Amino acid sequence: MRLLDTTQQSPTRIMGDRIMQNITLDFHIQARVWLQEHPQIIYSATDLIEREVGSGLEKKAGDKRAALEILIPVGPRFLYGLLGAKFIPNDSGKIVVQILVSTTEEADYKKSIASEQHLDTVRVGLPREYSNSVIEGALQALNPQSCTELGSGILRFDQAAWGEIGSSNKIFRQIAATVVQLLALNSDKNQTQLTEIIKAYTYN
Amino acid sequence: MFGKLNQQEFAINLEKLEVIKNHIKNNFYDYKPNLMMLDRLQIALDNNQKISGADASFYFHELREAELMKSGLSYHQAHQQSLQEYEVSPFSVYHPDVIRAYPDEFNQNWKNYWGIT
Repeated sequence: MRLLDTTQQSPTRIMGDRIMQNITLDFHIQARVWLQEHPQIIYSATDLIEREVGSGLEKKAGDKRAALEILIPVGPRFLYGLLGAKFIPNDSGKIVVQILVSTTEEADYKKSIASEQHLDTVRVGLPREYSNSVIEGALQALNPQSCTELGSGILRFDQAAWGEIGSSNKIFRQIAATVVQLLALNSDKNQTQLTEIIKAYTYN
Repeated sequence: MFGKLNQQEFAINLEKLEVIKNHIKNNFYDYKPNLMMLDRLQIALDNNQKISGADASFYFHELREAELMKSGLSYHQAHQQSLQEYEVSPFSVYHPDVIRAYPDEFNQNWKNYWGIT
């Protein structure tokens, strides 16, 4: 894998009534990051998948939110996905990862990077096809350090969108791992740090 | 399925294959299905074999995309225009053997398109 070394970040801007950051990386890669906010995606959950990790974790103060949308061109095709999660602290001593699973027939997400550029048909929701990959990506990123940073609570993936052409299990696994890292951040991290996290977890 | 490329065979040109390799290397991160498609084209060239189907779709798509991006079009514009000019499906650009080799990289729509179970 080659390292990506040039980034451009647009100033924070408003999308709908939510704040998000546009990040453009090398190789025509585009990302949108939401911290302490979310893309306001609503879909019907047909199932809830849960996994537990950690024990004896302390409760940290305050809910957290993070979301990542990414479009990675690779020539003949592109890779696309969007995931967002919230972390709700509690006294359980462990982290419970929850995934809201949808059908494949949810509404179009016309605000997506891929839709706006007429590359793909993007729908809100997380079909079952990708649910195990989201779990795997989240658990992979929930190492002892991340668990300690987050503390005890519920990590719920409740924001998602997928592309008919661009999505894959691999991209959702990578986005899930990245979102966990974004949640473990303090929200005052700068964009260079955000970019490094996206690079480290999404392009490998 | 393969639009203007349907039911045709094409010879690979060495210089054009180099254009495609450089385009992919310089513009995109290392994506293993691309490397496998390039290997398929190189083997066909080395053995003086003609290409068709997904191999031809990949070859002509990337060649045209390279030309258009060199002329100043963005990736998104060049990618879309290349698909439209050859009237090929966006799912036609990877050979089913590549999809089988990297199942994690391709969703069910790709597998349905190629009849991969």
